[in-house]
Amino acid sequence: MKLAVEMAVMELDGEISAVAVGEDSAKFRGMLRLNETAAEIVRMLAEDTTFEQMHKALCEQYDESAPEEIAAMLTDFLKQLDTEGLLAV
Amino acid sequence: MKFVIRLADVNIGINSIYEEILLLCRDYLTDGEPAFWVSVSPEDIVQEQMKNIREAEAEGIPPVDYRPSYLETLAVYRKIAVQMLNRDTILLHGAVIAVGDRAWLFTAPSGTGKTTHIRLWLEHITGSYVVNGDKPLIRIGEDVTVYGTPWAGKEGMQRNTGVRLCGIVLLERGAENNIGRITLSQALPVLIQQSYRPNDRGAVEKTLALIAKLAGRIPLYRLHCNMLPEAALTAYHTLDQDTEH
Repeated sequence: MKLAVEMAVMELDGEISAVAVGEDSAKFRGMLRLNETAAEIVRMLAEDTTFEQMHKALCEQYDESAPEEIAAMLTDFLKQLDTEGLLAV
Repeated sequence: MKFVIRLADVNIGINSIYEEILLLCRDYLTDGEPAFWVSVSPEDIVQEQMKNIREAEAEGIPPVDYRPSYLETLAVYRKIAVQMLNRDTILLHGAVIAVGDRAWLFTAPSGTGKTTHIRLWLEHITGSYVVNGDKPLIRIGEDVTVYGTPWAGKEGMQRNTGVRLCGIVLLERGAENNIGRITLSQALPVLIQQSYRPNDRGAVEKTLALIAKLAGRIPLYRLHCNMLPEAALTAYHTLDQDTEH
């Protein structure tokens, strides 16, 4: 899976935000507000990847969190991206 | 054909295929030397049509088969908007109304009632005039200045002038009329949605940084309003009181 549109992730007004860029940006005119983990997932989804690869990377990065907790968070966020039409599976 | 226009205090050369753009820009012609040139190719016009198709698909509406000369006007403004980022100037979709030397920008998704609202100002606020009804340019320097442009929507309401921008108002329909200050965080989703979004990642990042800078310089408001004269009077009362003359 990967993002259906190219996204720029940047800090605005002290919050991490993501907006669509490129020719497909008409598909998503809004913005996403992200925490650091979600921003990391968006960055990983710039390239084709899998749930397992992202889960592994996040577990290595956030080793104080339980793998099940990270998997649940990852699932929820991917669902949110899918609902917004931002995920190409 | 080649001609030069002056927008937001910058002379811009235009090298066009069709005459429509010259007619559109007739109030902005200048004899000055251009700071940069904008040229449009047939490929740019095709790109513009493709973009319209994609946007129509995204909105779930049938695409309009625009004439090439009109598409050229859009392509020209798109290229100008990208160049103007280098001069700390952005294109924000909205209607700008001024009273004397103070202006306010009303922004909202198409169909919300921006034009209806500014018509109420014209009818009920003495001395009010439209700077631009659709696509003004805003320069974010020590002061924030909003400029009229030829790209002014279906109604073509515009004036070739630059006025101090004293606030941005997010307009929403409501049964009652009320207006209040909001934070950048509250305004950001709408401001981003209503900004011109270039294709290039660097230009998008520059646009967003300028929006954040802009919002730090002038107050932001949310106005809930109906279509009665009180809507304009309520908005003006607060905006006037909040702004230095």
